[in-house]
Order: sequence, then structure tokens, then C-alpha cells
Amino acid sequence: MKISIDYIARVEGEGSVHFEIEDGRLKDLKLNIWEPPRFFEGFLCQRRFDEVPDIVARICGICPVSHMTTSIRALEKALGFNPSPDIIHLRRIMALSQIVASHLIHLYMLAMPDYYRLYSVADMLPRFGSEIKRLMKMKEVVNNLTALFGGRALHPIVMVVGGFTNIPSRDLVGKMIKELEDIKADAREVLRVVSELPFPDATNNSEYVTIHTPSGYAINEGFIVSNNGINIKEDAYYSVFGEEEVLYSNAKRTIIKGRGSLMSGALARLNLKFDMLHEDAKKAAKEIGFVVPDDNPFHNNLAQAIEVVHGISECIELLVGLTTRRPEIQIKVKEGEGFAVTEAPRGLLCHHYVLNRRGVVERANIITPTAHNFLSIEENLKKLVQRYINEEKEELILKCEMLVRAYDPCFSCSVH
Amino acid sequence: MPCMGPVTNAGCGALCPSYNRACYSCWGPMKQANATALARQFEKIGLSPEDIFRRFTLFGSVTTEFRRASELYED
Repeated sequence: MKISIDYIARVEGEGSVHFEIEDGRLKDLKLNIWEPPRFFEGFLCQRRFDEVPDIVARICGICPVSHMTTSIRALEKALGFNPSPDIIHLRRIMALSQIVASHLIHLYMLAMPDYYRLYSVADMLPRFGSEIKRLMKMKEVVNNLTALFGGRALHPIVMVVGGFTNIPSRDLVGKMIKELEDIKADAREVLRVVSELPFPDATNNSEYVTIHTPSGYAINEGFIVSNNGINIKEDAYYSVFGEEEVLYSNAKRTIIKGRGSLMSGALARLNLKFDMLHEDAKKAAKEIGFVVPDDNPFHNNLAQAIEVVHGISECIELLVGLTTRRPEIQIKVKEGEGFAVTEAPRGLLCHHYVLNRRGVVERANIITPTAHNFLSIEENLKKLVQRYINEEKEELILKCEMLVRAYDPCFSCSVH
Repeated sequence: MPCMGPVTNAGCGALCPSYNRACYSCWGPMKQANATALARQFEKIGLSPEDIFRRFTLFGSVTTEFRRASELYED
């Protein structure tokens, strides 16, 4: 029996899953990311360094801040610029606000309808009206936070190579803190609702990879670490990870050289650095009985909900500790090469640039979270199909779709 | 600053200039904008031909308005 999920709805971008079952055994399974390639790495060449963040922001409508921050860090390394603690502080607020916004969208609009056997968030409205209102309220607050520091929530403009062109006034920051305090309880409710979803049983054996620093829950910078012994500086990335082309897909696939698949994203982050979470998030996780390590890939949803609690609480602290003076932007143009890894909402994101002496891009390489998770999605889909092989066809298809969605893949990013 | 505001579609409320940076025309050109005149102005304030070319080829590079300016500075 051949099964084709030709168009996976409720994920970012376009992809399909095909597999074949023969005599009660899974024969072959492929995740085909058929969205056409977008050639960002090609047309970034011959652009000046200061245009790059504005261009790469357009790779994604959900995680533009991640692409901007990663490219800015890579470019600053190429130019030999060290951002001040103030700048790092501001970038962390931007990143966390976007992670919370992205997780909320994914949890409610992409993942949740499956668990209630509904087709979309619109179908959820009659039964879950108050939940959808909560989503809208929280999304508005975190979008306002991104816009407060970024100028606008989508494709921010204030964050540039070398710093920020504007810092919001103390009054506005004060108001924002109140708004965030106001949704803290909502965040715990989100976690409660997500924790009550009927997640299917599954086990993952991909290696978990994240970035880590001893000083906090690493988002924008850190050592690359895994649960199987990787502990390297970000610059050593290529010595451990390899990008390969896949015949049936327009996205590349990243593996750990000589070992195989990896899983990055919220679940990997929690499994590797749960202790670094904000106390509020740890407490909330304990309340719903979440313990690490958690090897059910469906629980990536749960991990995202815990990060929602974390993100809001940490943002409040970051806002309280904010200095409101604008650092001068001082960049000297020179030749160089820079590589940076950050945690985007859905996993590890790498940007790599080679600049000539006029600060113009000669070579660009971008490796997205979905490229990192690609092989892991395929492997875990195979295990899932094998495990539930006797179920009705419709039920099996739904479970496959639910697993793909649990990874929160962004196929559009992956074919950048 | 080489601001693209004078030739850009309105609607954002001059977002970039109000946050201390030059508009980069992410909404594309306004209809019949005189991009060539702005390009000449950029030349006067000392931008290189490559930089002027890049200003008009970032967003809306295929529009007639921006092509008039970018073609003048394309080598």
C-alpha cells in the first residue's frame, strides 16, 4: 500500500511525505520538501554587509529576528566588532519576544487542532473561544514587545550591524513590563492546556543538540553541545556537522558526521539545559509533571509551552534591568569571515559570510533549523509508522502529520 | 544618510527615519517616482556608483521607476 501525504497543511511552507507498506512492514519513507529553492545565498553575494540583515529577515515571516540576529553576529565577527553588554541585552529581549510569539502561533494555529480532531484554528473557535482569545491577547503583547525594540514586529528595522538605532523611552518600557506581568498567568494556562493534549507515544533516538553558556539559557550565543558528547566552539561547527544534498528534496539535510541525525528545537533545549530555565518555568514544568530527559518528539509542543512561560518571565527581568541609553554605532569596514549559530524558535540556525575589503559579501551560507531536523523527522516518522502500522490509514496519516508538525518545521526557511 | 523616502510608497508612516535610520524602500517605489533625481543627489553627497546601484536594486528592482535609476549606475 502506497501512502502519499501530498501537501502537509498547517506547517510553514510546502512539503509532503510518501511511504509504502508491504506485508505489514514499512518499505520506504521520504520527506519531500518540494517548495522551490529561493536562492538567498546566491543573491546575497555582491550586497553590502549592512543590507544583509534586512534581506535575510525576509527568509521567514515568523522568525525574522532570528535570521537578523544570526546574520548580524556573523557579520560583526567578520568585521572584528565586539557588541557591548547593552547590545547583547537588547538582542536577547528581541529573540525571546519572537520565540514566545512563534511558539504561540505554532501551538494554537498549527499543532493544536489535530489533537481535537479539528481541521483548523477557525474550527476551534466554537469550543475553545476563550483559549483563542488568550492566544490573540498574548500574541499582541509579545508582538508589541518586538515592535517596541525593533520598530515593527515583522521584519524589524532598528536592529542593525553594530547595535540599535533607537532605544525606547523609560515610560514605554514601564508600560510594557505591566503588559507582560498581565500575561504571566496566561502563559501558565497555555502550558496547562498543552499538557492535557493526548500526545501519542513515541521515542526519539536522534542526538539532541543546542547551544549552551554557563551564564544563562543560551539563545543568541554559546558553545554547541549535545547529549552524546559534542562540546565545541561555534567556529568548529563544520568539523562536526555536514550538509548534504538530497535527491528528492529542495532542502539540504544536515547530519552529525559519522553519527547521523540530530534534533534541535525546544525539546532539545530543555533536555540539555533545563537547569538554566527561569525559576517560573521550572516550577510550571514541575506542576505538569514534565521531567527531563523526555524522549517523546511529540513533547516538543510541551517544551515550547514551557519556553513560553520562560520567555515572558525572563523578558520582564531583562526589561527591569534595562539601561536606556543608545550605544553609538561604530563599524569599521574590512575584509573578513564570520560564522554564527543561534537558537531560532525551531532549532539551530547558522549564518556564514565572507566579506571583501569593501564590506561586500563574496560568499554566504545559511543552515536552517529544519535542515538540522530533516533526518530526525524522517527517522522518527519511520519508527512511528512501524509502531502504529496496524491502525486505520486515516489515523496513521494523521499521526504522521502530527509528528511533522511537532517539530514545527519551516520548509520555506529550509529552501532559502 | 542616503534615504530612499522621497521615492518610496507611503503607508509605513516613515518608520525608518523616525527610528534614526535611512529608509531602504521595502515598500517599493511610489508611482512615477523620479528615482533618477534622487540617484543624482546620492552621487552629490558622495555615494559610489556601486552603492547607488545597490540602493535601487534592494526592493522593487524590477520596477520601471527604480530601473531608470539603477541602469544609470550599472557598470
